[in-house]
Amino acid sequence: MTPAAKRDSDLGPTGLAAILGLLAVWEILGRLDVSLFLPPVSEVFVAWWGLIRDGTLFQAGASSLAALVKGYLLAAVLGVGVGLAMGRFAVVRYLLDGWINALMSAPLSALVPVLIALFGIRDTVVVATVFLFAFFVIAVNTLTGVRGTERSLVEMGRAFGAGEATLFRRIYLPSALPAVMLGLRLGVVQAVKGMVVGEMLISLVGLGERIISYGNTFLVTELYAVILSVLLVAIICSQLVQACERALVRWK
Amino acid sequence: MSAPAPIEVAGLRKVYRQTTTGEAVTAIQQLDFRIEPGEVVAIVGQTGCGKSTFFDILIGLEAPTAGSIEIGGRTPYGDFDGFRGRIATVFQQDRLLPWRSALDNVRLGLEMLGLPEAQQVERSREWLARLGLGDFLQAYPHELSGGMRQRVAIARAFAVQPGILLADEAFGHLDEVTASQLRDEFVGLARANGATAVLITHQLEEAIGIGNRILVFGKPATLLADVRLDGYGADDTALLREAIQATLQTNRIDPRLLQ
Repeated sequence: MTPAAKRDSDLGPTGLAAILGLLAVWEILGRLDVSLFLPPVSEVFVAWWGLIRDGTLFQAGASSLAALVKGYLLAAVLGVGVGLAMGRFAVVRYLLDGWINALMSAPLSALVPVLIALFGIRDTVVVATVFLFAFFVIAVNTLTGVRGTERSLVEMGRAFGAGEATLFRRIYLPSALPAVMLGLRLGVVQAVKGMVVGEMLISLVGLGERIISYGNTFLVTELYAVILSVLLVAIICSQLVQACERALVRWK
Repeated sequence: MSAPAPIEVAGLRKVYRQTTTGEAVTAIQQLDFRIEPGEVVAIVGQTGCGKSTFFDILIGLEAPTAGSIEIGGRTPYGDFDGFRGRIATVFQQDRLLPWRSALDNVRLGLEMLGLPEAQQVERSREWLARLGLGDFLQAYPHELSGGMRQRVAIARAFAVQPGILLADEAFGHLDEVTASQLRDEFVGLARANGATAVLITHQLEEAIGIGNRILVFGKPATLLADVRLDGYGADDTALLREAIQATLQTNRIDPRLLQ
């Protein structure tokens, strides 16, 4: 297979068939009236259209996306920065490694109440939650990328007279780039999770608040419509980052 | 090419302390010799005999434990920045940067010399063309064969126009035909440019084919034999082998060391 062919969309005809099949099963089960919580998918789409038409989805979505972008950009900049610093300076690595590992495996939703105490019930909490969810995977992937640089290439650079700064810029950094981009891609999916979790817990704004609201009032079709919207946001964000990745890493 | 200068090795010794066990390992026992400007020298020795350590000290990446290597009266380790662009190495594997095109790989050494960009491109193009890769300037390493990649590595070394060229088992991983062809080109280019060339190999046959002088290293590195090949023809391989064996025998060294 040529590299170009390998880069085609992951969603082939088989994948598309699987999705359509699932939707069909969903529709049938819904029509059989198995449960109140499983309405036919066609009704979900009707509700979705309704939410789009009355502006609910755009209003909630705009608030969500604003928090997502702010939190994610912050996480991307700081995550890559901290990862690079940890990769380059052993002192920083020793200092932060324990913290990062501990927080990475911690259930981060448990920290949201702390954030609420810190920031009050405001959308800043959502930004902070997005940041927390995305930061660690970006930092750790960046670190792994820097540390994974081939020793033989570093030695080659030294043999050609490179000092530490040149080595970092010309060898470590480009070598780490694929791992950094992978971190950013995994990070954006985490960020969407963080967005929904934060919004659900403060129950004030955004798609997460809609989920809680529709869930509490048994508006099941609307609930599914919002969940599908969140899914769509996650997929689109991930695809966007992947497009950047392909543009930047052309040599793999 | 930078001004030719002799390489003077005096009382050189290198002892490593192993990071895991703390045990002291002698890589270089004792080396004393001198390489004149423009000489083409082959260093032969078993794998792990400290040949690469010798190169590391020569390039200035490592400090000797005792003794010194001086090039034109200066030590590469102490004057690392001053030696930039004066020595270039072709490594055992091509060690090309996978994210750079052939042209940009050759440019690497020139970037470190701080040459103007136009000159970097011009000179890299020239050397790639000279090594027969004029049509592959924009190719990435993964798109080239092993022999072509090593040609890029050779171009990268020559492009900085160093006075001293090193090859560390640079052709051992290639098939025999490609290897001898590239070795001949490497030595030919070094001669044509008046550069000193030092090639490391673990095969005596290969060493005989290379240059005007063979240094035989023991393990850990000591100088077992210093054989000058001037006066022998290209077809005198058998004769040379005998001469080297004889030198080893007078020094009471087991010739099997070189098998």
